[in-house]
Amino acid sequence: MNKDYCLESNIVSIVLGPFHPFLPGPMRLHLSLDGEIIVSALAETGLSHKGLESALEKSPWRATVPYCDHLDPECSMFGELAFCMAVEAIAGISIPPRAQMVRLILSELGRISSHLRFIVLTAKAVGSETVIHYVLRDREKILDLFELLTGARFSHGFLCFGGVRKDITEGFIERLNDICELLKLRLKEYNDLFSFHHGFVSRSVGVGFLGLQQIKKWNVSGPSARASGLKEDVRSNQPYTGYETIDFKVICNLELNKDAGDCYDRYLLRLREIDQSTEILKQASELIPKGEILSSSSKINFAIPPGEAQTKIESPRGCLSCFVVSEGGPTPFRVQYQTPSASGIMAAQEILIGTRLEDFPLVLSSLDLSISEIDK
Amino acid sequence: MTQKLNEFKNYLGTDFSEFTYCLMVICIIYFFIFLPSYFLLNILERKIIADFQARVGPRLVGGKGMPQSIVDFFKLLQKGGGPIIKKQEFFGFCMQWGALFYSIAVLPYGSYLFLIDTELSMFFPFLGILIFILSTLFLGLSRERVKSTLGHLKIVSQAITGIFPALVCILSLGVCLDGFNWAALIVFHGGFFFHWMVFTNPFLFISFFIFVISGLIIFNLPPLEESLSLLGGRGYVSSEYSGGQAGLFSLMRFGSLFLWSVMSALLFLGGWTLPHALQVLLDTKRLFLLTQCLEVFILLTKTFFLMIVILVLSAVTPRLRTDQVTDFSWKVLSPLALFCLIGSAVLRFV
Repeated sequence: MNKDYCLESNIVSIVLGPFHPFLPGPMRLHLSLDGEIIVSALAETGLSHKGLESALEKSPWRATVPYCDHLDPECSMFGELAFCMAVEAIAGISIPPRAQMVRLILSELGRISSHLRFIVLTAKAVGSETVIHYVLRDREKILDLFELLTGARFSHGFLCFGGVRKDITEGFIERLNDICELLKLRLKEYNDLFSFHHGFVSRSVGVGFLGLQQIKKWNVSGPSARASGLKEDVRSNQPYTGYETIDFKVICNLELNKDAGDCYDRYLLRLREIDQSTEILKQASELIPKGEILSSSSKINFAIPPGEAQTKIESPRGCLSCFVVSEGGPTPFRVQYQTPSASGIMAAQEILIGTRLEDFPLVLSSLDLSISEIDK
Repeated sequence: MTQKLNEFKNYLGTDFSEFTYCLMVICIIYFFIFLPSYFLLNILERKIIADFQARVGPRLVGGKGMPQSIVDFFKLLQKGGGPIIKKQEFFGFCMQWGALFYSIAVLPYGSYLFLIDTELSMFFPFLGILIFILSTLFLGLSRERVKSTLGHLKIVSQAITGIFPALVCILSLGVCLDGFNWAALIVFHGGFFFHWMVFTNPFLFISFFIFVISGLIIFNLPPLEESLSLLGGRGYVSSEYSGGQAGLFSLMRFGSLFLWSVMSALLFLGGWTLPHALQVLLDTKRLFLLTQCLEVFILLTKTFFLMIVILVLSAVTPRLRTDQVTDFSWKVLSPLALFCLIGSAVLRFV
């Protein structure tokens, strides 16, 4: 924007939140505006702090897994998985291959569900109403699968140390494959209706640029980082829970031109990840072996020996890591989650500088932040 | 007006003044055309958009939810303390409503349902529109919140960019009609669609689309409304208004779209003109009331069709930023409108 042709104006401060339709959750966003341009942004989080880690440290081991769901209710599977993997690493519990595949299937379904929600938030940010309903309709099918397997749509509480609670029911794999086929068709529908619409492209291209420098400064990970050209994926670099048996490539925006990493790139990358997840699910459904779903060493009254472990997994928002310390007692001594949204919110404050006020919903939604993850 | 008044008096067999006649026409326009159209179109919009969004839509009230819009409107009026307006905003609201009512009233809705026809009748609604925009400015300045004031000012700046192409389109029409009065327009229109102004020449065809889009820009209507609507005085999802004010705001928003759609139907889509044979038959039989009803029905059908197309498009279209809309208006619509004006003039006089 050429300042020579602008009228002089004072800086105006506005505060958005704590409840605002375009914010990712309960938070305050302090914006300073020079006309329409944001000159500074400060995010104030902590309004939905639940004391999750403290609660985990006070709960018996067996009772901790359902708490982990509340790290991010939209992707509850990943909170559970990270914690269970850390505890299994401390206790030296090996997971049966069948249980690993079930965990993988649930992870990828959770990823698809989260990315579909991302599409909804992006469409809402630009005011495209119809695609919201179409995507939510398809997301319901994923949630129905969760309910079929785990008994719950969101907070599953399905994992346990050493495996999973229940086996896959009859017909689940067939329904899974049907949904994968359906999603491939639906992605084309979303592209026709929304992704390549001139209005959306003109709103999102060149907006909210996240560079590699900012990624490294704030430790941004996941699809937001891959859209800017950083080819990092925990599923590929440090495979876990059966990903080593799956053939897939890390999707990354390798066009490292000066405009790489805008809102549109982040949106397209997540669409491609949905497609990739359907392929992974198809492979998993074919490769899932027969066998136990719970490790034999995971007895009812087993004790977690002293030790500590940190695990990393690839959640839909980025690299989620969980650090668990055990002193051999009935409860964890220390639990700490390092969530991708915490990095994302820091980067968001920098990205928002220089953008127009009307673009801030799109920029925030493109980073796919979860306030629940940040506040814990 | 005198001739029509005399014909009307002869038909009714009574004598009354011009003032009474005007009052009657205004009452018919607002209570039998405008308000029922609002309720009907509101429910149609919700049902149609729900259908292609894979939803059911309103279905709780009455027969399949048809009276839902009426119930919702009156429910809103009594919520949140009713439509009480703060003192500072009162002047702006009065100006807005007055301008909107004036603009709607000066349009013709049938051969006997219009109040004014002068040499520049087609420009009369624009006077109301300009006052409407000015009132939005006053309303914005009277708001106590910075972001609300900024939003109002943004709407006003967007509205101003839409006025120019719309006026140029009217000029294109006037060039073809040799005048800007409604009588000339009605005489020119024929009953069948290929006699409409929009199909007269390709430049008027383009002008029609420019005119409609300009109206959406002027009145900040979807899909060209301010995208971050919560900061504006008019929005669709997160408007600052609640309760009675939200009900009135919804009515005003409909009124803007209705006004512009009626103008578009009158200017480009044949207005209320009946097929010639039918017109002759009705005149011969002196079926005055039936004629009026048919004319209003035809005009409203075209108006509703246009409004539904706009609302359907708005449901599937992402919103643009205000600066993108104003750029589009100045850099695309305005030059195109001027091109159409020149083209119409060349076709007319060469």
